[in-house]
Amino acid sequence: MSTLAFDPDRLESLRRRMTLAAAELRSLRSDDSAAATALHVVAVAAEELEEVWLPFVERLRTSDALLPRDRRAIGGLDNALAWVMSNGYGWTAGSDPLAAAPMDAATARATGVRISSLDPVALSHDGALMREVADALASAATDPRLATELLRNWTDLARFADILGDARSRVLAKDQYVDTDIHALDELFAQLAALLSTSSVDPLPLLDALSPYTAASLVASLHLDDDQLARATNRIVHRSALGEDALLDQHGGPHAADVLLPLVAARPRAAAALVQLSAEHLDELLTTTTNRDAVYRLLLEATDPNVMSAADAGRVVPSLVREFVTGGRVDDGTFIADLVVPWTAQFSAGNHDWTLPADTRHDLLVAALRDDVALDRFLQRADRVLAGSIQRFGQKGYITKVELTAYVGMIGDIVMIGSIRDAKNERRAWDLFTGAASLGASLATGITIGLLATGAVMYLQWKTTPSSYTPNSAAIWRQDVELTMLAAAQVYALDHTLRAQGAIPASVPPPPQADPNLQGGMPSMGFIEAMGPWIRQLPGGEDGEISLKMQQAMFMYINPADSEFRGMEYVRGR
Amino acid sequence: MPSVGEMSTSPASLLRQRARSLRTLADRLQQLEAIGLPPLADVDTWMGPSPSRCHDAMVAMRRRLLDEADELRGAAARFDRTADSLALLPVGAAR
Repeated sequence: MSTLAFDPDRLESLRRRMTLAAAELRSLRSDDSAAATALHVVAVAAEELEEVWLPFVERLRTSDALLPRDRRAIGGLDNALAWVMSNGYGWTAGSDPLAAAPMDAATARATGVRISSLDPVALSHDGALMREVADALASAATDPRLATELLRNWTDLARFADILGDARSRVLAKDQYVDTDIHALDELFAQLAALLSTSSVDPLPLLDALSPYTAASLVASLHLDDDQLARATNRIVHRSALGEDALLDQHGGPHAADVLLPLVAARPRAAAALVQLSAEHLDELLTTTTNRDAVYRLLLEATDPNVMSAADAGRVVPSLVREFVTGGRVDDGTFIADLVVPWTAQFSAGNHDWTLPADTRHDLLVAALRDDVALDRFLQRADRVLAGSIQRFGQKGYITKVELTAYVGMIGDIVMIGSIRDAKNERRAWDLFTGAASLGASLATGITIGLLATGAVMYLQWKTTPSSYTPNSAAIWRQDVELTMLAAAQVYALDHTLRAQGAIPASVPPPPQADPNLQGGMPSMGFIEAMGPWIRQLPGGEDGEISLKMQQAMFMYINPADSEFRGMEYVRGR
Repeated sequence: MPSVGEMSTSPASLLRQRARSLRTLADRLQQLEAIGLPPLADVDTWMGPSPSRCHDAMVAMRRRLLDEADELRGAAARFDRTADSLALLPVGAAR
């Protein structure tokens, strides 16, 4: 029930004056028709006094429901105003015969004072009262003026919130001595956040005054934009890293970062902003939470090229890789691979997007992917590696020889130094390698071919030749692979040139790739056979001018007769 | 100045009489107890949503009563002007 408070003496005076006023209004008379309207107004006023306000005042004075200065009876927050006036000014408090009405400014102020008087420790054990507080906050949160008035009269809000935040943490830590109603507590926090959002009070100073965990719990309900969320999270996590949440460690409850990082991870732009703000102390994101998955999600969202520029990534990604590799945190190869995949091109020595020394970048990536799990993941994401590289090189429309050789060399280092554990990844490694080399198709054909030839040799060095093979058969196989690579590169370069001239339409698929792992025959034979169906799709068909050029390019290095011969020699040598 | 006899019978006299009556009523409206109620119903006496509404109602009531007093004075003035016009008419015309 809604209550009010009054000064009994002044109320009695008001009652007497109202009674006199009503009688006086009733005594007015006039027979003049020009006074009819005035007399009607007089009659309405008399009626309002007699029918509404005098009975209201009379009931206040005489009602049995009056609760003179009874603190317990008017302890509820909906009676905040009555409580304040009763306890602070000696007024009488009573139930309001006209029932509840929307909160006004005076009530909002009184509610702030009333909440300030509550014992937050006791409150944290009283679910019903927490809901009552939440309801009162919700009422004030409907109007910016009311919300502001309430907050300005809520003294020591930070301590109040911190005690509740600590209770929440203990509940989540399954502290058996805490019987807090977590749902009521969360509702209270949500309404406090709503109040702050509605009011004209800047929430950031309050967040600084709260313990990191409490501030985080509040931020979770504040409707902050991406930038605000990132800034608030950065400050809170930094304070948590400095030990301000140390008390929480005693009961093993969650930390601020446990609350905030999943929240930020779900908003890529906030994640990117946070990671940039934290660039100088990224390790704090890792050390302030036990939820490693959330940190990984956040970091991957933040460093996605869709939300982070190459320049910003240059400050962040190498630092993270170094933190994981040299900081002894290589405990999740999958994450580190996912982190570097979109930025592989920037790690190569020939690229200048990042300011880190070229050798450092190259070595950092190779070291990061030396881990088996990381390399497996990297190869599984080979298509994304290439997509990122194509996007990078495509932005300027060309790739220099230095860039290409550095890039292909780095990929070669990765796939050759690492330990590739299954056939599927072996194939991926090869595809990645040839795909990387094919980025040079925009360069002069000779350079591309040279690179591919080099690549083939590197590949052959890397690939373990079965010990049962004779030196001769192994040499034959390597020769065939190298020739096939050269043929494939020649065809690829010609295809690229003719497409650029418009001679080959986009509807024609790209030429086949050489497959060094072909089973049951020489790789050159496999490539020649794969070329057949492709050539028939070219303009002019199998006997057209373009097809003939393609076959000439291929026959410069491989042909069916030689391939068959090498195949026989190879079988004989095994 | 019309004689006592004129005042009770002529239209001009009647109008002036009505004007005086309306002014008297207006004076009474302005001096009603109800006009003085708002300060008694303010936050020095009580607080709460309903007391706040009561105070607002007293203020509105005061405003309406004073507006009516002004209306009555306006009507009285019009009556007086009409009476003055009637007094200027030639002898024999309706007065």
